[in-house]
Amino acid sequence: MATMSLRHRVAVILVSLVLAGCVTNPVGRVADPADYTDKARHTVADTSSAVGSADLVAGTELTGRSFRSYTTQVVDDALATLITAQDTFETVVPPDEASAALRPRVLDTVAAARRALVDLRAALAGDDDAVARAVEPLGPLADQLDALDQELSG
Amino acid sequence: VKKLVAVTLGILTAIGGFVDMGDLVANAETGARFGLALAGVVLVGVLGIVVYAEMAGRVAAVTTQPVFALVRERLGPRFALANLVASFLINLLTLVAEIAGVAIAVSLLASVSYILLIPVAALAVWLVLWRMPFEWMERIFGLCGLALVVFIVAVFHLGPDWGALAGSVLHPELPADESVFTMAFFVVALLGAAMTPYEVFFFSSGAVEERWTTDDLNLNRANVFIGFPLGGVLSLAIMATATLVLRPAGVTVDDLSQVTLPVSVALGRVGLAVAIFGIFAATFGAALETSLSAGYSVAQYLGWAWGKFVAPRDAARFHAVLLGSVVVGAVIGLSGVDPVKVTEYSIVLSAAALPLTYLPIFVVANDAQFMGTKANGPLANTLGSVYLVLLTVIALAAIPLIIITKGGSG
Repeated sequence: MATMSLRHRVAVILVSLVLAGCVTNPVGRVADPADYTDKARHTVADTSSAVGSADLVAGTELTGRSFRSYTTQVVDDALATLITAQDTFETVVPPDEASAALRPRVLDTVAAARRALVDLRAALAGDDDAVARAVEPLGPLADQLDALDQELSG
Repeated sequence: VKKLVAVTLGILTAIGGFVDMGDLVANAETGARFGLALAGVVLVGVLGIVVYAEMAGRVAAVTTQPVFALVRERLGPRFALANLVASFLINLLTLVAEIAGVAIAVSLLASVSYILLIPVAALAVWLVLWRMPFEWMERIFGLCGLALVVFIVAVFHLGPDWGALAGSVLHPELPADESVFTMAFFVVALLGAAMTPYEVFFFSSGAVEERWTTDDLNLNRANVFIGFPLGGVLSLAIMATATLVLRPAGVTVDDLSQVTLPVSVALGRVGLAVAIFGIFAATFGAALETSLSAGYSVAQYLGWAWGKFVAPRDAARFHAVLLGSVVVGAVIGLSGVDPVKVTEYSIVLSAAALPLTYLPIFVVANDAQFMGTKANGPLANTLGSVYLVLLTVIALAAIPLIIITKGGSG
């Protein structure tokens, strides 16, 4: 097999590093508990953003400032963001006991947010009263996520 | 009067055509995460594109040749090939994002998955490229892009604390939940979005398409000095609306649909519809520009007949590159890649290639053999040199920042 020139090797290494960097949340075991906490914080922040986005667009829908098709798309996008964050965090193995204890707290909160967004998505097929009922849990959920985010940031 | 109308139309087209998918995503995401702390970077980027687009337009008007043909002639085929490969690949990545942007804009009102709309968007882009005269194409989508002025209206309607906004621009602070590296990543992204290489290739080739001569140098200056900065104001307005609505709600921008959310909050359904239309026009126009830039760069490097001013049968290879680029762009888009991530990577990788794009323009615009008395003056040379140094630093930092910040995620 022909050997690669130095220039080609450098190019391969650079491309590999960029591709490695593209994997925003690599899965598997995390050696460092601080790294695990950081991933947990990112998961909570992504979830919080998704809930905030859905809450905002649902608010515009209920006050007649949005189209149903647009609202539905924003909620779909928020749900997709949340599911990606949830799936990624679920596959990361906690490195120690403290991380193992943190895991269910994060995942339970994220799962509750996911249920709330699915409920909202379902309600968007109905009338405004159904949407209003589905929006109610989003505020308390956002507070819960903010509190968890602050705890993990501190 | 006819001349004045032409200049005014040119300026309006430049304003409306300034914003593309990269600007939409980078400015909204930066506003949501950093407020207006990085607004100054947009101003630096706009000044940079003004400096180099003026040079590129002047070169095209004086020599009646586009920049790429002169790069090969002045700097040799090896350098020009490196330039071609880098700009073509980044251009293709940008085209993927723009076609997806068109599809997403339609999907926001049509209740259809944007993936299903990608082939339709690609077909529409190709049909316009094939059938519509250059000037019509440029004007229609540029002028429709002016609908994005609705973001400026939304800023005023949201009634911000102007003093606080100005304070955050003049005294930028790093948000507690962000690192210096993510901030640097978005600095690179904003500069990459404002100074995307295809913009100058399109601008200079467009000048040749419209048969500019030295008589059109004032039109060049008007487009660049008035149109581009006002286009930059649209970028800042997008950033400001995200700062005012998304940031307080803790919402980061992961999808194009979120970019128009502040307009919906501020202006309701009419504003939302206008904003979505503006995004459609901006991304459609940019899809046309990136497709054409792909064809221009390859055809000009290889010395083929090129341009929409040439009959398609006489520029068959140029049109084949256009069609091939649109098809490849659509196929990549159909693979389900995240359009926002593609956009982020395209603008940051654009930043990595910026010196490769702008150095040749600087060299050619400074060459009295090509330019005669219209070569760069002291101001253009000073600004051009400062920007080359800045762009080199940005280019060196771009890829390490992608790796360190995991693509800006933190």
